[in-house]
Amino acid sequence: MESLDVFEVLVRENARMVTAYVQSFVTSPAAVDDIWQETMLTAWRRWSDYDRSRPFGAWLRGIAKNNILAWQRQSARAHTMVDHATLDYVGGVFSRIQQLDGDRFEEKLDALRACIQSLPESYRNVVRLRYEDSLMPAAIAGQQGKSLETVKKQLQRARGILHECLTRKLGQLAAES
Amino acid sequence: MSEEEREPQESHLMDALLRHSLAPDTEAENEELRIRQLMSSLRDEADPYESGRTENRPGRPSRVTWTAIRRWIIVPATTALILIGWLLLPSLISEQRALATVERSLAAEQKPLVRQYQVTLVADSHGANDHPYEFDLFVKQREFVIRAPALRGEGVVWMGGNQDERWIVPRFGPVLTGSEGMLGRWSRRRRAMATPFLRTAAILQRLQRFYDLEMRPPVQLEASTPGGSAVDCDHVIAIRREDSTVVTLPDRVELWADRELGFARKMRVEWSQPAKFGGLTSAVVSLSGTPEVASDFFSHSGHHDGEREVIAGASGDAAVDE
Repeated sequence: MESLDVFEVLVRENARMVTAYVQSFVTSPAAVDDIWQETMLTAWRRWSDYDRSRPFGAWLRGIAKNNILAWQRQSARAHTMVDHATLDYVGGVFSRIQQLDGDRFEEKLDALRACIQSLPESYRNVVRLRYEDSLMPAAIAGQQGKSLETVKKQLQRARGILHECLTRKLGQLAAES
Repeated sequence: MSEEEREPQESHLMDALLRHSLAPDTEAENEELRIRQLMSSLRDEADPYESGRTENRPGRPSRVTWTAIRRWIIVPATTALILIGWLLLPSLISEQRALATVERSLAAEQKPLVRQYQVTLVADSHGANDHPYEFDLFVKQREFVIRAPALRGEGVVWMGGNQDERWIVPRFGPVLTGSEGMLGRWSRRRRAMATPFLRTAAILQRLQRFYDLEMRPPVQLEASTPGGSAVDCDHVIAIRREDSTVVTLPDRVELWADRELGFARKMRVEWSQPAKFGGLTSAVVSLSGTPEVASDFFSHSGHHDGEREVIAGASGDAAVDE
């Protein structure tokens, strides 16, 4: 199999994960696209440097990390600056997710879906409306007869609860393995 | 990192993971497009029989080359330093001035002034739809509205975005509201019309990061309104750097920026490989005016009579306007 074909297979296996990793720091869809492209093209240009004994996904995240830092330095629109420690912390979360069961990235997120099921009903509803139905907070507020501020706070609180739940589950799964 | 500093980051992380766990199909479409563009670019580079890619690129402005500089290195040191500075300085100054022009234009984008642009897209002449496609683009800071002719029949379609949502008001039928993804899916059928890429601020940001810039002599652009006077403009040529890794970027961008007010009066964007961006070969974005608009212009309510059904969270896949 030619190198480029092998590279494409690895890209396809890890594309979603890289997107999610970049989206953890960058909100602009255009910037996410740019950083994703830069990461994959850099990976191809450094293909001969890739240590095949290491997970490809971790190597890609390392390249993406540098591209995110570069984007921050050059972008006037980077509202918050993240540091190496934060990037590494989030990288660690992705590393643990990558070890979960499932062929595809979204399959590995079963643990998160289980956490969503355990949310209080009102939080679960706003999470589903926001992420399954892609409604913006204003639309959710209109539909549910709530204020925009209430919906935003519920989403923020739900994300906090889900983060605690996912961290616990990832820790439990790591201890069992 | 303290708990307080970590909380927003954890929220962003969960936001990203929730999108991929609860709406994987939405992300799958974007992902497939990125992968195809990436692999197409890599295969083009790897093809040993690839011809004329460099020759096909729009002409580069003349620049000082390292070959010319090395010739002068053998001259005595002080003279060499003076001569190197003399050779390099104009291009450095030119690049700095060009960068300053781009930054000033980007800063002008932040002003709460509504600007109306006419956008003309030209596609590959071998394609079925090779006539130019024109539409109007209105921008104010991060809000935008597009007024485009319907693909079939008469009438216009309105689409736009503000801080809360993206929306589409077709000629008939319900109003759709949703995310950037919805707009992207709908607009891809209309030759990349509404992608963030063709918004002036997005073009200017990319010029800062991915392009070699050169200042050309100032020019006067014709007035954008009848009876108006010509406008003095700074003129910048931007050529995509060869090591740039974003495959969808245009190869050449020309910017004409208002010397007094700073904002972009006209931009011309060219792709030498139309396949990379939906078959487009060029796009021209020209300022038409700075109209006064109603307070709800950047919301969908400003473009229909309020009697229409509004469908929130639409996928954009419905046959809108057709």
